[in-house]
Parts: sequence; C-alpha cells; structure tokens
Amino acid sequence: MVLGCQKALGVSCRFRPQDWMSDMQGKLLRVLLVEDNPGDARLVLSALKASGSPSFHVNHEETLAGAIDRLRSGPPFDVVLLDLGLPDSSGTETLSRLQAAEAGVPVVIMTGLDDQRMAERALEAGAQDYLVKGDVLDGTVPRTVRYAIYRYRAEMERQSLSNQLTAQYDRMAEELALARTMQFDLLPTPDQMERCLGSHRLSVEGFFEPSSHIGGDLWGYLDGEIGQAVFFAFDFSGHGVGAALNVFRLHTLINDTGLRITDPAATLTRLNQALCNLLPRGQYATMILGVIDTRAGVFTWSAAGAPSPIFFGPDGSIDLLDTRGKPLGVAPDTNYKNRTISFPQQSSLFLYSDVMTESDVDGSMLGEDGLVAMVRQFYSPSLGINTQRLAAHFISVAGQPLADDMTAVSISHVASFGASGEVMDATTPWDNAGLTTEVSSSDPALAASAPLILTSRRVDAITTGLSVPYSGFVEITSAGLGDVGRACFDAADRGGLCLSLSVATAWSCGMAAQFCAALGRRYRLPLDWNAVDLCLSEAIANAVVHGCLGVESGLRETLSGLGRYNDAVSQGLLDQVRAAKRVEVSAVCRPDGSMELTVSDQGDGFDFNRHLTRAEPLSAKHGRGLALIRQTARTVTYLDSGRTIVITI
Amino acid sequence: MNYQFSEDSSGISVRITGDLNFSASAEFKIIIDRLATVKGRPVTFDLGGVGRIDSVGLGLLYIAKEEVGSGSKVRLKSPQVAVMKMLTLTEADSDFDIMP
Repeated sequence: MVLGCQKALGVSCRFRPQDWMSDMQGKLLRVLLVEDNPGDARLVLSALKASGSPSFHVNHEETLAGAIDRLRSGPPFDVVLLDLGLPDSSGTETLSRLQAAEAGVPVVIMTGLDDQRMAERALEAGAQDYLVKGDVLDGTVPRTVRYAIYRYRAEMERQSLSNQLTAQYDRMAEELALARTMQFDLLPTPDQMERCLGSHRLSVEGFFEPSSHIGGDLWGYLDGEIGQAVFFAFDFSGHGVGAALNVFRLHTLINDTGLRITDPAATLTRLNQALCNLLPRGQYATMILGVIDTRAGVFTWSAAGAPSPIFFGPDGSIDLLDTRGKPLGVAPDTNYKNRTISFPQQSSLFLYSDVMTESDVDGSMLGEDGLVAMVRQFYSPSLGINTQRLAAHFISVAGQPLADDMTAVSISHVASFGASGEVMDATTPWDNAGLTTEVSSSDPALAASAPLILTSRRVDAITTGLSVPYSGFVEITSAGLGDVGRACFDAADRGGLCLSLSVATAWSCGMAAQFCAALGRRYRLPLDWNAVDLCLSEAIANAVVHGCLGVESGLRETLSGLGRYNDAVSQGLLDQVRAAKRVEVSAVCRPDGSMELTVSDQGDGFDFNRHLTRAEPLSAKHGRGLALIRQTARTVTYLDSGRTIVITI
Repeated sequence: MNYQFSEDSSGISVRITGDLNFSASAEFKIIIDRLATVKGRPVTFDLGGVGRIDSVGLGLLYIAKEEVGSGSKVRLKSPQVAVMKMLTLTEADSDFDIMP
C-alpha cells in the first residue's frame, strides 16, 4: 500500500511503510529510557541488548527533568521509554510535560501490572504504546519499540500529506474563485445594460449561475451598427473547468475581429470553422446569435442547436423560435442561416440554457411547454419578464444543486417616450395643459412648467418623470388613467412630486428608493432624510402588500408561514385585477420647512385605530411598520378608511 | 436582492446585496430554507452590500435567527449607515451580534 500518493494534486509521496520497517533493520536506534527504579531499568536494558537487529543505543535518565534536558541538548532520539511515576512527576502529567517540552519523538509508556487504566489514558493522550514492566523478557520490548517508531512515522507522514492536501485544495479553491470572477467579468455589466436601454430601448435582465464554481455557459451583449444590438448565448458540452476554458476561447473568438456583427449566420459560420480547429473530438457548443434592429423592429438570428428562445409579442402571443443547426465545433463546412421575426415595441425575448427545460420539477422534466408556462407567470406586456424572480422561482422548484450551468436572459423592447414637456404614450386623451403647473420652488429649474409623464412603460421613464423638469410619473395600467388619485395631481399643482404605479411595477422597481432619491435631488432641505426614507419604505410596503395585494403580515411569523405569505404575494401579483391596482406616493414641501408625504393604495382599507393602540414587541417579525412610522414622523394621519396615510417629517 | 453563500470552519456566511425589503421575501426564504438544514452552526449575514432595509426585511432576519436555532449565533456584519440606523431604532442590535 502506498500512503496517499497524490501526484495528480502535486502532493509529494516519500514513504512506504514496508520501507520504514526494512530501513530499521540493521540500524542503530537511539532510545531514551526514563526510569527511576534501577531494577526495572536493568530489565529493559537487558531486553534491548538481547535484540539482534535493529540494535539499540540506550541513554538512561532517572528524572523527568533529566530526560527533558537530554532531549533538548543531545542528538535526537528515535523513541522514549517513559515510566509515569518519577521522583519529579507522576501520572499522565509526566507524559504531557515531556510532550510539551519535546513533541517530535514517539513515547512508549512503561507501567506496572496494576496500572492498565493509566496506560490507556496515556495512549489517549498521545503515547504510541505501553509496556508492562513485568513482561519484558520475551522480545516484547524491541518489538514494541520498533512498532512505536513505525506508527509514529506513519502518523507524521499522514499528517504531512493531509496538510499538503489541505493546502493544495485551498489553493485550488482560490484559483477556482478567481476563475469564477473572471468568468463573471465576461458577462455584460450594468453600465452596458443601461447604455443598451438608452441607445436601443432594450431592457435586458440576465441571470447566470454555474453548476460548479465555473461553467460552460455564457451570454453577452455587443453594440451593433447604429440602431442595432447584438446578443448571444452559448453552452459548451460538459461543465466545470474544461467547459469554462472553452467559454473563454469562444468569447475571445467573438470579440477578436473588432468588427460589428451585422450578419449572425456569417458570424456563426466563422466561429464554427475556428472552433473546429480548436476543439478536440467530443467537445462542442450550442449557440444562438442575434441582432435586434430596434428602428426596423426586427430580430434576426442564427442558431447552432441552442434551446429555442421564447418570444412574447406585444399582444401577449408566444412563439418558440427555430434554432435548428449543427452545434459549433462539429462540422467545419457547416453553413448557418439567418431567420427573422418582427420585434416591435413591447416585444420580449427569453434566452435560456437547457437546464431550464431538462430539470425535473414535481417529478417530471419541465420541458419547453412547462418552461413557457413558468416564464409566462413572470411576464406582463407592460413589464416584460422579471428574470431575477423567475430564476429564483425556477431554482426553488428545480432544487439545488442544479444539474448543469444556468443562464436566463430577457430582452424587452420598451415603448419610447417623446421629448420633454409632452404627455407621452398616453392611451387616454389628456389635456397636457391641465397637468402643467407653476412650481413654487426656489430652484429655477423647477420654476418652469412641470408636466407629468404618463406612460405604460417603466424604470427609465420613472427616473425621467421624477427628474426636473417633470413633476412625476403616472403609469398607464390596464385600467387606463381613470383611477389615478387626486393626491397626485394636487401634489403637482402645489409644486410637489408624485409617483403612481401599478402594484406589479411598485413591487419590482424599488418605488420608495426611487422616490426618496428624487426628493433628495430636487429639494435640498435640511430634513432628516433617513426618516423620509424609512417612512416611505414602510408606508409603501404596507400599501403594496397589505393594501393592494391583500396579504396579511401575520403569516410571516414562522418559516412555513413565510412560504404561505410568499405564495399569497405571488398569487396576488398574478391576479390581473390586483396587480393593476395603484400604489401612489406624493410629496409636498410646506411653508414651515416640513415635508408632507401621502401614500395611498386601492385596497380594502384597514382598522387603523387598532394599530394606533397596539404595541408590538421590538423583536416582532411583522406588523411594526406603522409603529416605526409613528416613532419617526412628526404627525401621522389616516384617511379614506386607512387607504391613505399622510405623514409629515 | 441577491445572495451568496460561503462556508468555512468559523461557520456559514451569507453575503446579501441590494435592498432587503418587502420584495425580497421569496429570495430570502430560499436562504432560510438552506440555513434550516445546517442548524447549530454560527451564521453571519454580511450586510455590507445592503443599501436599505425595511421592517419586512428585518422580520426576515428574525425568522432566520429563529430557524438557525437558539444555540447558534447570528451575526450581522458590516451594516451600512441606513441599515444600522434601522437596527438601532428597533433595538435589533440587542438581538443580533453586530460586527462593524
């Protein structure tokens, strides 16, 4: 048997046990005998002297102090024979003191016939073996000494190998972590996604999770010609380090020409030829490469056997795109072809890796139909696909660890909005002048007309609507604009700021954070902005969850309750009526320097008097949002049966 | 909200980024489910990447603490100023070990 010879991991292997035993034969082994009884010492010396091979050189000490001095000052010993009862020490303390003074030597305990338990305790404390003093004349002593030395060396070698392996694994883990970081660095950055949204009106959300530290998937975004954006997603056979190295290869090939990609099929053909020269037999990649021309409203793609992307039309229609084509790296003479589909505003596309269709959910493979149904749950025509929530949901039902690397990317062509000062994308004829007001602010930028932005789209338009010169943002929901609260327009009339969103948008866009940040930018007042932020956060959370979605916070008392709470929230967001209910927030600066915040929902209202008197324990898991608001705000008033809360800071 | 698990001899660390608020409950339940399988080990929530927390998010931390078990320490590491203010305001700093 070879002990732990780990050449593959770079761990050296020096010893074989049989080598040690044969090495000891014919050698002189140095023994330190620590025994205060002259008779016992003579017996042991005689027993060792009688041994033929190996032979022993014995030094004798009668005290522990003498033994320690000799161990420290003299040449090293191969073994110590130690009597536990010495003039200057007794019991297992003798062993522990010796080991503390000199740890690198095996120890054999010498004990009397009636000291078996003491010997066993000494073994537990680290002695290699023990000898019974009355039993030393039959060859036991040399054999015990040899085996003690052998066991000690074997143990030391195992420890050394273990340390080397631990160090090696730690190094590998560090290198894999670095490789993982490098692989994530290949993904599009938030800045790139923001530019994509600004330049192309394409809202992109991606999720990427290798099944091990690093994986064989990648997706990416590249600038195309003017008005065009290029997207790709690929998946190498296998996963782990080998597949990840191929990812870097293909990423380099995609980027190395420096030319903008205009013809996906021609590019795939070039990539395939290059990969055929690089990849060994059995390695290949599936891929989809597409160009979205947002001016023409067309998506052109070419594919090499990638999973079929799910296309959502503006009317909510669903198509699985054709991705037939030989995988890259298999046949060098393959010619790929382009396919096209109309991709107007409010279209969405979902790219994914095959783990999303091949994973088992509820005992059977999810498949394309199952995935389409799942993605549809997280899609709405006005919001596109919420990829992060979809991915979290998928992982929760598919279970971890995933069988393969996972990529999920949604691309939505958002509706454009026009130049500043206009009411945009409105589906209802509104009198723009009626929404415009003089702003009573010292900020000259606010002294001009400040219209509201009305649009069915989100995120970037929200930011614009909350920025000067606008006085707010109103989302056009499936119910139109007829249900927008008067407080929004009142705030605009009074030089304030307002935001009116469907609960579905409020859930996902960070409504409180956006509104609070906009207030901070707009009104440079000496307010306690942390208090503003806290009150907005708590009031909006209540309006969304309890007001519009009708979900009780009491469910969040236990982990199982949290699961029911999350289910109820998901159901509420999927309910078209509930998801279209509005959450509205407005802010107005008052002459006394305070700020008046109004948060409204379109729920059933609640008995706020009960909450005014209820005291929740500090460590409550739920139900203390209103208490925090009361604790923080100057005044709190409830209107409209609790659907509206007015807070002054 | 995003999260990342890591584990070493000192316990389990969960790095959270983004806002820990009412919209994070589904993702956070995944974290708690995972922690519930390793009861008895110290857990550190690295909140350095959390910009904001609301009372729902705070309640989620309490559920996590309960699920991890009374014998285990739950630490909150590197809370940003806004998060620390919430922890102080609600006296959560007496229920969790706060590591600056």
